Amino acid sequence: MKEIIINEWVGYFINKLFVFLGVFFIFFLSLVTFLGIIQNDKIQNEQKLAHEHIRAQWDGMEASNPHSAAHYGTYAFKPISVLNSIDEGISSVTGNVLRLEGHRQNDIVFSEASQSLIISKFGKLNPSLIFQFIIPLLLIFFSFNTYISERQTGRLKLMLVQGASLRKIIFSKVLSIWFIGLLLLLLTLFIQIIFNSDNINSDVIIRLSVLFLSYAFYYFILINITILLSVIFKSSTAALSLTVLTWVFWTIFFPTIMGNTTEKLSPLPTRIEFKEAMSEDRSKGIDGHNPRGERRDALEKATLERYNVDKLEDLPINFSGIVMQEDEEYGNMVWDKHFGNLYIQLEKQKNNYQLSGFINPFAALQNLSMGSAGSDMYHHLDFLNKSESYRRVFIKTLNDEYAFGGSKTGERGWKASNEFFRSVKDFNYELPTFLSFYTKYLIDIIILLFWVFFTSILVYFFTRKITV
Amino acid sequence: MIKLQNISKSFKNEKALDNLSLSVNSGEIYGLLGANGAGKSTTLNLLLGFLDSDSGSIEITNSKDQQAIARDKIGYIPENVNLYPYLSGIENLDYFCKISGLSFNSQKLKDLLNECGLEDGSHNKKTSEYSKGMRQKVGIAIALAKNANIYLLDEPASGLDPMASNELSVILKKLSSQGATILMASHDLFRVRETCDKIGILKQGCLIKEMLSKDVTSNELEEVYLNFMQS
Amino acid sequence: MIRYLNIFLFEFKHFRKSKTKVISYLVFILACAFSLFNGFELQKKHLNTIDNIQINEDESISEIITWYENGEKGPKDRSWIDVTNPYWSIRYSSTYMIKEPSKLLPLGIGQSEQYGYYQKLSIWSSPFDSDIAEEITNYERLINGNIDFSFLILFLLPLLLIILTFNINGLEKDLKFNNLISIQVGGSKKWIFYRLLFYTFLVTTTINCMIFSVAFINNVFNQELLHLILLSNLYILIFIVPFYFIIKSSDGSTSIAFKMISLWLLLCVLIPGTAHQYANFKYPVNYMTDFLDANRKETYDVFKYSKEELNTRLLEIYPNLNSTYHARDTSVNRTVVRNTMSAIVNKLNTNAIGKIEQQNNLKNNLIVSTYWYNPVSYFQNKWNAITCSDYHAYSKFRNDIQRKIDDRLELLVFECWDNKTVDLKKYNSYLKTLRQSN
Repeated sequence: MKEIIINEWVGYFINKLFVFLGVFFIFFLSLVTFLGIIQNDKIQNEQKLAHEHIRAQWDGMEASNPHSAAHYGTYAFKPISVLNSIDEGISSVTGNVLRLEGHRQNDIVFSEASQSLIISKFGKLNPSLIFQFIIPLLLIFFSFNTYISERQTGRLKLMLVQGASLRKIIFSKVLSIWFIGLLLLLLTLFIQIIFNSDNINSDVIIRLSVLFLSYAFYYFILINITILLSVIFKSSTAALSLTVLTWVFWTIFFPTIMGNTTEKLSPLPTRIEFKEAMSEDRSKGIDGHNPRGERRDALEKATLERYNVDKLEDLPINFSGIVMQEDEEYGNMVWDKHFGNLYIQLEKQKNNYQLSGFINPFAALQNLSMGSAGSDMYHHLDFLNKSESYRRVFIKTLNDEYAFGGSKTGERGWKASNEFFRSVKDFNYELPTFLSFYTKYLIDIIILLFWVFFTSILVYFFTRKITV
Repeated sequence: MIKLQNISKSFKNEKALDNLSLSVNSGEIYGLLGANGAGKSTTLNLLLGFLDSDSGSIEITNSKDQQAIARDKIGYIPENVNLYPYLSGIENLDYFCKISGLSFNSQKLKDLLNECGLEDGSHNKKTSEYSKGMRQKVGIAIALAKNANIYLLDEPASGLDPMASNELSVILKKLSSQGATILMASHDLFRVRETCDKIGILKQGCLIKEMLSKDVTSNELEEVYLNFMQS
Repeated sequence: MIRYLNIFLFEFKHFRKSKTKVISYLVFILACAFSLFNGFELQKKHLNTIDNIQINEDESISEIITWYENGEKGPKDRSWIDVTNPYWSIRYSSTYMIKEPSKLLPLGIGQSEQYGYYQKLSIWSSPFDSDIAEEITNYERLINGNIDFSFLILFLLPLLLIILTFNINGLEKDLKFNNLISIQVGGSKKWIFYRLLFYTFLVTTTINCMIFSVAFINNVFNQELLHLILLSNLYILIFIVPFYFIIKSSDGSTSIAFKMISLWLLLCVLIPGTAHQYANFKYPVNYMTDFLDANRKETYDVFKYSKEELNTRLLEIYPNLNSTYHARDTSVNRTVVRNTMSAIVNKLNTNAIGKIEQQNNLKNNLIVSTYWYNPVSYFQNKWNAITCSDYHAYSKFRNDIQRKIDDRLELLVFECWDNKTVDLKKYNSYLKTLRQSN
């Protein structure tokens, strides 16, 4: 087997086209990866500057009423992951700026895609574009004829007579082409590690490993299928057209169809329906700014009882702060219900899409690629959830200061000091580690392994019965 | 008639034809023998207009009016008459006729196939199911359909079984008796001897021997051929 | 000529006999039909939402009208509201700005999923508010694209053309009867040309029929429709012309397929991807801090202004305010000034938005400058422009929103400063300014 693989590689190296393509791809990938890293650094820097700018405004806030500060709010800027330069996933279509303020939960806005005309449907020229669209085609073109040419030139018979088994020959061919893909993958990862050495930690290494294995599995599947079709159809044209057709279906057609189907299976509400439902539920709570309402009266009664006083003016605290926080808590409950349902729907869609990997391994590859790069929906939802958690702590800190910071009920003009505002914890989003998320991608890993196993079995089976 | 005069042709300083002159009269079948690389296919390609000669002249004229014949009026039968495998014999013939500007009804197409010895039952079968001999017959029908006066055949008997090979000889003789000029390049000494009126032996681009087939037996032809090849 | 007509017509037989070609063609047609269905669904969804919004707006407006009719000043549980005061009358009359979907939307949804298509306007609104965010959607579905008609034409149609044409002159070369063809035709150029012409005709006819079907259903026969047809037919030529040369010069179907796919990758994936990367390198994602500053810090600074400062700022924005009732008064009315300070905030927002739009335009100009070597992006954006679903269509929508906000605030400022009292008649005249359609 080793001899056949070495012989194949010797064959590649004396093929001028192969050498040209090899050198071209090595150069091209290196350049794209390197530029991607620079671009990533640039965006990370922009995000950091925006974050610091907003925080500086907060820190420089004069003594103000804490509740006004809650309305003033802050902004969360969605950071991009270190590996975003390899696969930017949904980063360009999601918003990047989220306003965190009292009484309301906003939508994340200002996506990159909304800031200009469309340029590319399939994304920017980054390693994932090359790995998902170009290298598979290259591997198809290397593999579709490898068996047929052996057969047509009679070398296959010669090798069989020499004692090599057909299976060994076929698997050697699969492996020798597969190694080309692995080489290009390793090169990209190598450049990523070298030029991003400051950001490399154990999580990044795990993510890179998952990325590497996902693509490695996918390439193996694709080569297996190409060679399998050439073995079955015995015609290079048929093998090529069928494999290219498969590639088109997997890469272009199925993802779109499945995306639409999953959305139909678990429909999402329209924004207006969603907002109306939320505001209806919200209206059942306490209006922080409206001194009326049963719930408010009950809260007033409970607070007076707790402090054992008869009138709000006698309270040692500022009842307005309590009301605001109660209103917030209710709003949070409403948010949890509605956004919880929305996220469940989105996760259902994602799960269904993941399951489509059984008919389209590209879906599994795509999920793992985005997932390991930290640019998929799970990571986006994590950012939104953590932003919301921060918002709650942020607003509660301000409301508590309003309630218990020294003012009394009715002191609307009371102000918290600048020191207090500076002491409010900043929002520093940390990308979750891959291991804390890995269960979400188990199905994708299982699907790719299934395809590796399934296509290998098919190759094994068809090379048993083959007539040369 | 076909007339080549002092034709030379080189590929990257390698001489394929060296001052070749030969002529084939109307009603004559000329067999061009030679080893691989002797220049047989180059000669045919020059006649078909796929190659230009470095020097010399080529005349392909109609025996009746002595007018030069356009390339699309030459009948060409390659070594392997490959056809569209998904079309039937009759559909292939129809297509090849149409692309050369001819349009026949199905009866005429059937007649043409019958004339070339392809049985009725095979006409509507896909050519992917045809034997090589059957495809040859369609190839000849294609040439016949355009009323070609000149036929160029490149290894027509290669890979044919003796029966099919013999049928091919019969068809070619019939065509020559109707005044067609036929040039046939081949390795097959026996078939050339059986089919052709005149035989030429090519070696390294030179015509080293010409003879009439009636003057030699098959054994003598083999002896002459081998002698020239070894010399 | 009959010979070439025959070549053209016979090609149907070649096409019909190839299962792969027929199935691919049928799958493409099905996908087109599905995409149009999706497009109509989306259009319907937008229209339904718009209907609901209009009902909503009508209801809230008629509630206010009822107050006027009944001589009430506002909701019973909010005694401080007085709709006879222009401030409360206008503040309470939230209206919507809506971007109606183009009748050609089923033919290309373009960037419409990236933007919101309605916004509720108040005296504090801005076209970059977070409530004009795009529809709730699955972002991963978004990056994979929709089964959208324009997507099928721009990206899948070339692949269909590859499947239909890669073995023209390729099969003949593979099976080595290309010489026989040449002999029969007397040269292969025209033969290739007429065979390609058949597929061009087949595909253009199919696409044009699809486009016409939408035109019939939505009853839209205008210049845009013709532009779309012209654009789609021209796009097909962008691929067919190089395909002709590839077919003419290649050694067999494998080589042809390889070159055609490479061309597709180059035009549809690599060049746009490179242009995208370059544009983003030059103009990275904008975190809109200018707008955020205007919308938050500077707005809060405005809240801290004294009434005199606010007064001066308002007079700078509206010099004609000088002739109003309050401006003529020597003492500045604090309530009137504070009630109209949203106009100052609007001015701040407008300035910040101007900068953002300018930055976006720089990026767009860069994108446009890539068109000469990036034809697919050109066709894509032209297509989206025709179906009113490109950046510019939404930019125009934002401008319309801004104009409406400006009108609302001007009305607010002048009416408040003129100390007007609002009755039903006056309110109806307000609605002409406040509402999108009158």
